[in-house]
Amino acid sequence: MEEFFEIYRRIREEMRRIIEEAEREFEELIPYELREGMLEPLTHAYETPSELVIMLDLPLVRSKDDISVRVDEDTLIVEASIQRKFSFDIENPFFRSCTLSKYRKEIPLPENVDIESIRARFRNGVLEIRIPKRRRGLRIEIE
Amino acid sequence: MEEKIEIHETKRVEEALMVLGFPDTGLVGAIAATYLAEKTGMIEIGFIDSPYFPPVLPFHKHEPRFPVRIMAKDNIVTIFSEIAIPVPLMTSFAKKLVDYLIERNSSGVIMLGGIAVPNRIDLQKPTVYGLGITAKDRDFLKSNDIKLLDEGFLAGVYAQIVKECIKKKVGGVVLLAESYVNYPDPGAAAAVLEAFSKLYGYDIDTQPLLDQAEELKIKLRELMKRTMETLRHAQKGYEQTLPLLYR
Repeated sequence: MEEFFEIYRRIREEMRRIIEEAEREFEELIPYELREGMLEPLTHAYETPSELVIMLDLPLVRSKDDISVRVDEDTLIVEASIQRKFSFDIENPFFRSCTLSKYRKEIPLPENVDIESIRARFRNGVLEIRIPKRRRGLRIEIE
Repeated sequence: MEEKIEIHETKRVEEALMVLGFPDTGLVGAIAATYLAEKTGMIEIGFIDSPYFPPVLPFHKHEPRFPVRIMAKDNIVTIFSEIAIPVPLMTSFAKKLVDYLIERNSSGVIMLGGIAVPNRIDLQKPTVYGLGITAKDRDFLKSNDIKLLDEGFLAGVYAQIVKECIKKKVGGVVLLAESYVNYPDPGAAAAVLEAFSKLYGYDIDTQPLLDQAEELKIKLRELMKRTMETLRHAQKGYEQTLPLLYR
């Protein structure tokens, strides 16, 4: 009888382990940021001859006061908070919903930009960041 | 591949105005067409399917639906898609669709979409441009104060549909609102619907669409990402290019 209970206990333990593992795998299908209520904004970047322009879509962000833009080493970090909580469904096997409260985006910057002169403006739910390129060059004399 | 595109109908609607809205720049066409179908109380009369479509099946309010659906009410039919039409399938899809329009004696085809502009951030109300397939279509647009696209390229599924329309002598117009390229743009969808309403005498209230614009932008971001992957292969960059000027 004791042996039966021992086998039963081991089977239960094994099942618990399998279920926990499966749950962890499903969890991983949702990005960590999203589980924390953080979303990576849709981003569009393009270059002009003098600037690098980065645009981030920040729906539900109310004003520029809710946005922080900073440069840490050679990375541009944008964070924005949403005052109104917003829930939406995520496609995964558990089909659970997530409450969004913040955006965060890290953008590696190229070497040839002037971080001292970065400008940003927020209009109609879109943040535009203009990063001037550092002008490097020299004049070549033609013989 | 054309034979691999199937159009299934539960109801045949003849001589209707056909409105198309497929995921493209800013998802403008898809947002506008689905909103039009919902606002006018259209019912589903069919779907388009292909083994070459991505193997996905959307479900809404517990009900499985085909991603490319045909909706209708009275004399207007809307065909819209919840998936970007794969690039290798665009030509066959366009051929099949235009044949369908001809078989149903469609009274006209209107393609709704967006055209990317860099200054979209500064535009409260995007301008809607038109491309008329025939001279009569262009006159129709001009007489209704729709600015005609002058020089440029159209790229993607509408380019293929317009080509087929020209080959088969089918008239129609493309209405494109100034839009963000890779963010869902409900504001541009509202603008294109207003232009459509003005041209064809419908009264579509776009305010609810504008009111829920921000929520829509979040809900549609995954579709936008997938559409961008398709657009990268659809030579969309051509739309920012000038064509040969010396013809």
